[in-house]
Amino acid sequence: MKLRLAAILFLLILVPGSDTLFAQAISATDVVRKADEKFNGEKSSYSVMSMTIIRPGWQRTIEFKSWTLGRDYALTLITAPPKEAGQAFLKRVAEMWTWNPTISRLIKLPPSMMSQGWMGSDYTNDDILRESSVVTDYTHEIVGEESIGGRLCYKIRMTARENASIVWGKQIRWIDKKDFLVLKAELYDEDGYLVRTETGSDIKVMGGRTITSKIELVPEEEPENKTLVEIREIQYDIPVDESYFSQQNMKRVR
Amino acid sequence: MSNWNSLSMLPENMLGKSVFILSVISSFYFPGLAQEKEKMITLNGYLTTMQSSMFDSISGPFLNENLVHNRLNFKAYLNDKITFAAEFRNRLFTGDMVRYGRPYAGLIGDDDGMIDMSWNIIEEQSVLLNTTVDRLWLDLHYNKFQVTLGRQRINWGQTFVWNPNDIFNAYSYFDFDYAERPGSDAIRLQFFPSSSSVAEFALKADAENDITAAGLYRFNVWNYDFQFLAGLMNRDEAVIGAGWSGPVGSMSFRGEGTWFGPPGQYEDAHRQGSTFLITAGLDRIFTNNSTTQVQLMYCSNPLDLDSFSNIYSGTFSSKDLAFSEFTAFGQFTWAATPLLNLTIAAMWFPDQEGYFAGPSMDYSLSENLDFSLIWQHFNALMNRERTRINLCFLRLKYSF
Repeated sequence: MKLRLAAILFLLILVPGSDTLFAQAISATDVVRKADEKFNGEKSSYSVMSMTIIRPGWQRTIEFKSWTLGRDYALTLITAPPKEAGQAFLKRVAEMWTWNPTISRLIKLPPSMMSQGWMGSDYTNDDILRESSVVTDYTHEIVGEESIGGRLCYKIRMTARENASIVWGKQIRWIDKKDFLVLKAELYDEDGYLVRTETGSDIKVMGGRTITSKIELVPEEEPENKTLVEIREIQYDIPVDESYFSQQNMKRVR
Repeated sequence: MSNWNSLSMLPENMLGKSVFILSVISSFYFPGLAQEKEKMITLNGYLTTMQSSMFDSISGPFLNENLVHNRLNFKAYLNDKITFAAEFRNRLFTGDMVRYGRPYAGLIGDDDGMIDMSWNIIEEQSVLLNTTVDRLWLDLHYNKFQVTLGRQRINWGQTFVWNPNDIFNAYSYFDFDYAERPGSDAIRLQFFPSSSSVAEFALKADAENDITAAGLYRFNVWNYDFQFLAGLMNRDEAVIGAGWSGPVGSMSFRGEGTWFGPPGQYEDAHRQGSTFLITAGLDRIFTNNSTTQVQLMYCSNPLDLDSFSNIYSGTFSSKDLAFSEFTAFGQFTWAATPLLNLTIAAMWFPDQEGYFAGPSMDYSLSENLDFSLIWQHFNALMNRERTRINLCFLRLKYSF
């Protein structure tokens, strides 16, 4: 069952802004909201990305193209490595399918599928499936200003609200004051232990916006195990409607 | 079959030779083309070398074989609406099985399709080179319609191990080295009423000009996919079936059932009466990427198991999946590391007091190179005799 392979990747893209670094963040809450809305408010997008799992002694890269419409619709096509290329993933609201061209078969995936990592990627369930909001599920506080890579950032502490069913107990985010880029984030569990650090770099204008085109995840306990996401191309508000996200189209996209 | 007779027919063998040479040459030529952004023509595939051993016990004789296998998948995107595909399988066999001569060569060179596109190019005492075109189709899309004409794979399966709904070309779980399966010489019409449903009709003709024709409707409701199918198989056998896939908690619940009418006068009836096959299973993927699945199958009219090759058979039909009234399957794959998968699979055939056990490992040596070690052990009563067989495979696979 190769279907697990990249399900995560495509969710990674299809829930833009649900992950920390995609969110761009003025009162503490406003900074976070601004960043979040900037990304989540997107009507649609097209992106070309790669994700590299880096481990001592080896690394593996997967490349893919993605089309999204709001949070409900997404279509992802794996373009590399050759062994997985051509596999497509379709999400329509709560339903998800994968098309495997090798065996010419459409496979229905369970919702839990969405939570699987690829090749030991550091992305976990919550990154992907998280219905939670960085705005409403946390209280926000500006705890300082720090410079990262020559850019002055708000340092914001986000504390999970009591009733929020989210994995992270706390997050600290460094959000660039000029472009609302999340340049760094520390994610802590409910007991206050640092679980992982994310850094955004390689700031570029893509799709008419200034964004961090590289995002690196480093788990605290195994700092040698990294996951690197690179955005090669991104377009916002592409003309696409719901019918694009169909079983018919998932077999045809290239 | 047809190929078996055609071996001496020079023109056809020459055609085979040119298909082989052309496919290999063009695989060197096309990657250059494939670099461009919006590629008009694409090529991908793999090259494997597989060493296999067959033996009934460690102390007995071994049958060893090596297979060098090259698959080439060409696709041409003629425009937005029209796609053309040609896929080739070039296989070079050396070893003990080849020395069995013609019966083996005949089996390898067999093409069950309406048009014979399998050629044994070299057929010597110790070496056999075969080229097969197993996909050759033209696909047209227009609005919500799709027409596919030519040799293609029509896969109606829902479950992972046995697929009674897969009436055009069943999949054999054991034949792990040929996941693509042979194509059907067919015309297939698909209409997509919505984004998650399809109504289709397909018609296939085989080497005996027997027609298999059926319609299928698949739709999504209550988080489940359901499908219903009906048609004729092998000219005059009725088939009616249904299948489903959906979640049960964090698992997937999939199943298929098909009723096959009694074989008609054209069928070389190895079985009397109708056959009802139903199978259902659960599968689950764990957070570390380990997977597990179980599947059960019931068959009202199972086949006699008189040879293990029945299980493997290349011209396997969706009706011929069961040798026991009940069959059970379980598999667990442990993602030991992101690069290493260890699998143990088992199947139980109560009527034969038999079982299959299949431990295997897959290791990713580099981005495009995989190593697999697969062991298949069968143990069953056949013709009232306890029979055992072991098949061991070592495979290196380079994907491009």
